[in-house]
Amino acid sequence: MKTKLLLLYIAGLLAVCPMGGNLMAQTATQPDVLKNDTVSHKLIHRLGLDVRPSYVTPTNDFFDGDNMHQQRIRQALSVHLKYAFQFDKNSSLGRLYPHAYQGIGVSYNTFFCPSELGNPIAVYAFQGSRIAQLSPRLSFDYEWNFGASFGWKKYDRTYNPQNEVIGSKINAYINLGFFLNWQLNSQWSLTAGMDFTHYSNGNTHYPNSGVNPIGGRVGIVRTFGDGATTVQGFKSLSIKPYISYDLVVYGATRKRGFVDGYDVCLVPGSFGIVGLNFNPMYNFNKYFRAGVSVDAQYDESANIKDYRVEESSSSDVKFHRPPFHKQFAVGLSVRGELVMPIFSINAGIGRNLICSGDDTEGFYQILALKTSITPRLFLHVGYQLSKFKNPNNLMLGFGYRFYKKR
Amino acid sequence: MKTLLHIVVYIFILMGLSGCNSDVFVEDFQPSVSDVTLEGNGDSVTIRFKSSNWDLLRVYDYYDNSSLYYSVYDKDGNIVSQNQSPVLEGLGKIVCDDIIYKDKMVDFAIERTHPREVKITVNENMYSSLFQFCVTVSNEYETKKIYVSITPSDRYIFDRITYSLDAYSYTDKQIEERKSIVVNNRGDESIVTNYIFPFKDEHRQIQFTSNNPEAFNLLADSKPEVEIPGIVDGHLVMNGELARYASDMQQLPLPFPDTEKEAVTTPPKTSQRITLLLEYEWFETNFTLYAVHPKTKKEKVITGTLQSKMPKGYFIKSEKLNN
Repeated sequence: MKTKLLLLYIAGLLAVCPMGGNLMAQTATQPDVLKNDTVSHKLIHRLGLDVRPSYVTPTNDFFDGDNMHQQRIRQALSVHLKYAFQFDKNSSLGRLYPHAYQGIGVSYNTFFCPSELGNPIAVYAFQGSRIAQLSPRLSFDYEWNFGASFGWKKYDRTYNPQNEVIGSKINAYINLGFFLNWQLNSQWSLTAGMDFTHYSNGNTHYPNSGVNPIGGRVGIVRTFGDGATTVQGFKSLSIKPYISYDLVVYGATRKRGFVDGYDVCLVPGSFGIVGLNFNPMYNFNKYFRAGVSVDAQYDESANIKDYRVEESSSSDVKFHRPPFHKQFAVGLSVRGELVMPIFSINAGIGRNLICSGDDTEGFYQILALKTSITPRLFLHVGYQLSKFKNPNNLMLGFGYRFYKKR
Repeated sequence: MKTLLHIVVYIFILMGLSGCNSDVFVEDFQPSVSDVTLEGNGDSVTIRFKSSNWDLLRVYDYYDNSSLYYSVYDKDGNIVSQNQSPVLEGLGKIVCDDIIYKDKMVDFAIERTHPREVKITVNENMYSSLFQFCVTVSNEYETKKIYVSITPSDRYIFDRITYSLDAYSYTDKQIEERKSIVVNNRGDESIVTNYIFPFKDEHRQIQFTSNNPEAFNLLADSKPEVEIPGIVDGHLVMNGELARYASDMQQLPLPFPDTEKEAVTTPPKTSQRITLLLEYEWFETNFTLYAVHPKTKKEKVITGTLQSKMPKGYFIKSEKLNN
């Protein structure tokens, strides 16, 4: 059920990408000055192929040889086929974000251990843009991928007992790459760089230590259409700073485990999470906004270890339901957001101020992807850590942006 | 916009339904108190539970060799069981009884009157110390304990005592050797005379005993004087003799003078052993003591036995010794 919810969100996220062309005058990133720019412009389409060999970081003994084949798992390889579009340079978004592209991709991944990890297929949304123009034909770019990967061999007590890294057949796929982009001509470009990948299920199943490859990437991109030229010499638009207010309501489910003597007790079933963020943000420029967020969250699993029914066994563990104040927390976080067409990436560090109990006390960290559906409404897919190390929960929800032009 | 709002609402309802992990949560039925002391003269307490999520109620009284047992009744008042390890399932009550003593020493009842309530009613605790027991309530997953102490009730006032004068054990042929002396007369002519006082320093011994360990702690006056029976003409009768009602052995003066004496002579050049043998009258009979509570006027009955042993006659045995 939890995985289906995650999939639903990712499907929604992917669905928004192709709609992006039609949303170009509606995305929430645009200031009011461009609101009336509803003239339809052609999109610039791109097809890309990447090959990404990687090194699997040994974050678990499983990768160090504590597996069925008693061999280290260090290598991974993925092949990506990607479709993207860019906004026409004469469109409002094209003028604001002349180098941004976004689209959907599919990749085949192998860790050369198909019997225990599988060879998952990832379907994802992605977005990239330029960080620096190094020469007329060479630029330094970034690209993130976010989606779902299917076909994992998950942990199974009987058939796959040593796989303590993957707990579900479907896992989130997150990737961030930095690379050099060499524009061969108006249609073709070559890319080469490095990237970081993370696969995990967002703590919806155990185990969830995940897989974290670090590697290189080489790719080739074919650009179609008349506008398939570099935007050299093009003067992009900027915006006046203004304040916007994001209201996000989210929910998720999560698993919960705790140490019981010498054993780790995994609580059966999944616990519900509901949260609300209210985040006033100052839009410094078209790429960046930041502010302070009031974060309220109810976690059905918080502090339950303190309410364990002592006589219940680890195999059938039971709890008394903690009082509401033990499972509800309100905190303040500092948020920064990278703003791009359709997508925004929000990161924050916060601390709960109104809370009670070990599980809600302390700092938390948030990374979220906001996908605009209308100029004000957006999908919110986020993940929260606590105390900089403990996986907490997904944050799947919707947001509404109130803003006024300064 | 409206459609989007609907989607949002539906998704959150979906999340809510899938998120609630009710299987691992059980309701806490924590009692309002876990330790309670009740007055032995009559008291009660109603203990409330946070939830009714429990079904079994047990009583443990810590007294391994206790004669206490418990009757368990269902909510309709039908007796379900009678044993020393009572278990009440659902509504009903457990009443403390006694399998030996007609009149129980401790009297209390535990009643589950409501799914969330248990009432403990104490009538009395005739033990001289706290009577303690533990009520446990439990469900499939956990057990809660309530420790209950009952203070000693006010002591009773002695009212009367009766004895079984028709059925008793009796003998007057119980002979015991009491004293022995050796006289060695080495004289050639004189005769040595020794006087034996057979009843000197002798007493009537009586003792009350009871299987009820609290039989002698029941009364406010710890050792009241009570009438005891005696043997007259071979029959047990009440003849006005008095003794303390106590568990220790009592020595009463003999009902006749202890000055009686007998001369025993030893001829010249003779050695002999003179031995005094006393003949006792012994009986044992059951007693029933009635006492009344000073406030409640409730009558308490204690049963036991009285033993009496009194010298009635004597023999003097002389044995010549070879020199």
